[in-house]
Amino acid sequence: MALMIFSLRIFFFLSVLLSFGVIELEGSHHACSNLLNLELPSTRQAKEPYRTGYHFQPPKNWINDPNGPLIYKNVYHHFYQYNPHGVAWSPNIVWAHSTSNDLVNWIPHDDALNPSEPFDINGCWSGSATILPGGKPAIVYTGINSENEQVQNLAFPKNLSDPFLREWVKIPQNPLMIPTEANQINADSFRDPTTAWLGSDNRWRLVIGSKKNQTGLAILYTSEDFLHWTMVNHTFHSAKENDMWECPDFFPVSKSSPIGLDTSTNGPDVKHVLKVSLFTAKEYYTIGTYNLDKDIYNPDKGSVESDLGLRYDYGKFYASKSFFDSAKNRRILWGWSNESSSANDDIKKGWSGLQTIPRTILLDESEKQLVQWPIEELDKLRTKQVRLPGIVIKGGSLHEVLGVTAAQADIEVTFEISDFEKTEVLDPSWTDPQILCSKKDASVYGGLGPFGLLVLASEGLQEYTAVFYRIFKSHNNNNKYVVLMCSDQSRSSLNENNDKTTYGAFVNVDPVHEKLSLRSLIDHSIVESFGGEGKACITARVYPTLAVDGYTNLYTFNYGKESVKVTGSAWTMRTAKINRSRKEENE
Amino acid sequence: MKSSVRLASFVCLIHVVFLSISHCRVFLPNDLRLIEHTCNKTPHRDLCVSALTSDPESAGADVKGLARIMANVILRKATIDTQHKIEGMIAHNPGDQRLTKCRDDYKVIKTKIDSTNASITKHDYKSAEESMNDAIAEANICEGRFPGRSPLIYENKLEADIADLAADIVIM
Repeated sequence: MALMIFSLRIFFFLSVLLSFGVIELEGSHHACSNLLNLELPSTRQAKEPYRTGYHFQPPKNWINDPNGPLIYKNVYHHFYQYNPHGVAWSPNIVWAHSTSNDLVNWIPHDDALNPSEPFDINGCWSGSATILPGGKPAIVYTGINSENEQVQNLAFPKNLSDPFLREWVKIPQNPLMIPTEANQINADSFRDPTTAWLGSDNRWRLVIGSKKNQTGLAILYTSEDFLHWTMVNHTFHSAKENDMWECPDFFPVSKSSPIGLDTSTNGPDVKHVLKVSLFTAKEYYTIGTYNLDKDIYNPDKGSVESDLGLRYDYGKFYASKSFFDSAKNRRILWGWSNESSSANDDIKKGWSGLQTIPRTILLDESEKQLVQWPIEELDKLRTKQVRLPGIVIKGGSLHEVLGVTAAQADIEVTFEISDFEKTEVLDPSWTDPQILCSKKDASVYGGLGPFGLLVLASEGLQEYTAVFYRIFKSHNNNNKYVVLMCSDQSRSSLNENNDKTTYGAFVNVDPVHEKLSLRSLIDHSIVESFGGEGKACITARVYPTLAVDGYTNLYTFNYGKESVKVTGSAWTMRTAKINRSRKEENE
Repeated sequence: MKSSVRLASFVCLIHVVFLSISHCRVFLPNDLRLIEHTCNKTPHRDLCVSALTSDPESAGADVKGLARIMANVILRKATIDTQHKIEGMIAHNPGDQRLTKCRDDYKVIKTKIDSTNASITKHDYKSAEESMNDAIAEANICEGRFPGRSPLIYENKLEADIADLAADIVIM
């Protein structure tokens, strides 16, 4: 198809040229290329169909956990686990470093931390940043020492007047926290220190992920001077049958205002959140109370402490870390979305891993869950708004969204349901939303739903990723409805080597009295979807073979009995400048 | 695939029409460079280059001139073609309200093209972009009048893509 258009174009091109003389066409000169600070999605992606246009990633190689995000003198810093030598994870990993003014466009710098000392010679693993009184940033991170033990180290910026904080100094007293015979800490289960917070006694505290037998736990350390740390005898919190707790994150959320809070904030208006990442590659969080006197965290009654509990994201999202943005008083969340492609395909494309779009986190009105939303700065990448006509989509039909670059887009739609008569009843045994979405994928007819979006779709629909809702009537209450959100990757690609697992989540929205909304950020090989204004988020990684670049389509669809009215908007997203090398900048 | 055949036919038609009536306006290296450079920055590079090089007036045009050609020549031609097709379909299905409504949608697109042209003359490029954006909305409206894919899917899509190009280029 592409070949035909190409050859026709060349034919007519040549016919024009031949009529008027032979003319050589060179690469364009860039007099006007700098007028536009941000680019439209263009042929830059043609060589790399899966590289994203506006997600954080380096030019090549493996990345994993976000590390030590911070803001210093109005410059945002992002660090991340990076393998400078290859496309797979390696224990000998470094902290790569980028900065930004807007959390959207990023400038790369030299690596902040490289294995160099006995206390991290075998790897600079994950950690967090704490802003000390006076504004000085401190990084506490896990080093793999010469004996291959996990220890915790401290580093400060070498030059505080460098706005980019390009160089970091590891203090000679490292390591500051180590596993010993006395403290009985397991040397290969002691990592990922959190941002520290100040207690009412003005002592610093932080927690480190660990385990004992099958119990996941957070080990608590305190310090007066940030240099000398003492392990506290009791654990901060733990959960049986969780296995290792990786990447713990502990922070306060406001009960009354839609703002973020500094990590040390406490008081009657505050609840606390503890998030942990598990070996099942899923994370979960609980909301609870931080008992200042006892230095213990207590999740609220009814909290589920396993990966069946509340999650930031029900898809490909792991090792997340939040930080307090003091410039705009918000708490921002970063996550790592790894590839769903085969290792061989990763080697072919030369890179592996993305960071998800930074999200703001707030406590939901119900105080029973968190709500996330992509940062507002992302909106600057939107080009003109394509208004979707308000259409009532009858069951069994779809509508193409025209005039949007479907491989690199932002779409927000709202569904209005007028008739709930044909809703199916939710079988009480259907408790796992992921399994329910797998069994009832987008191709399975329903009563009310499936309705939603077909993204990264090929023209003949041989490939598509479906993000949709199904609505069920509650088993024991005829007036209560249950909303299921699914991201169905089962037909996302003809390449059978991809992980095409379907993801699902129940969304706490009342479809009778509230409008049901859905936003999807589409970016070549990642789809981040937000249901119920951010009450449920699902990230998926897909690799279509036909639906690439100019051959990608976007549809709204309804495959249920009941009609649904759809309104909304879509935007082509510009390509952000993320970690471009100087050479690329000048092309 | 069908859409590419239609696209190719459309491009052929434009080429034949213009080659036959053109006054031997030469595409100099700089003209072609500007077209390539401009089109490389858009999401529909191939369509952009084909469309602009099919009109000899593109030679010697600056970027805003290329935008005007995209809207006032290329999009106008595509709109007229589609309007003829709609008339034909109405003749065969006189009772079909959806077709008569699409006929109205395309009349609106015509007015948007006129607005774009006028805005460019006044150097009001933001308004020109908005008018082209309205044209995209109209194409979506016509498409949405039918369940599933409309019988005008390829025309609506081409219309939206050309308007999209015009909108992108006019604010470069």
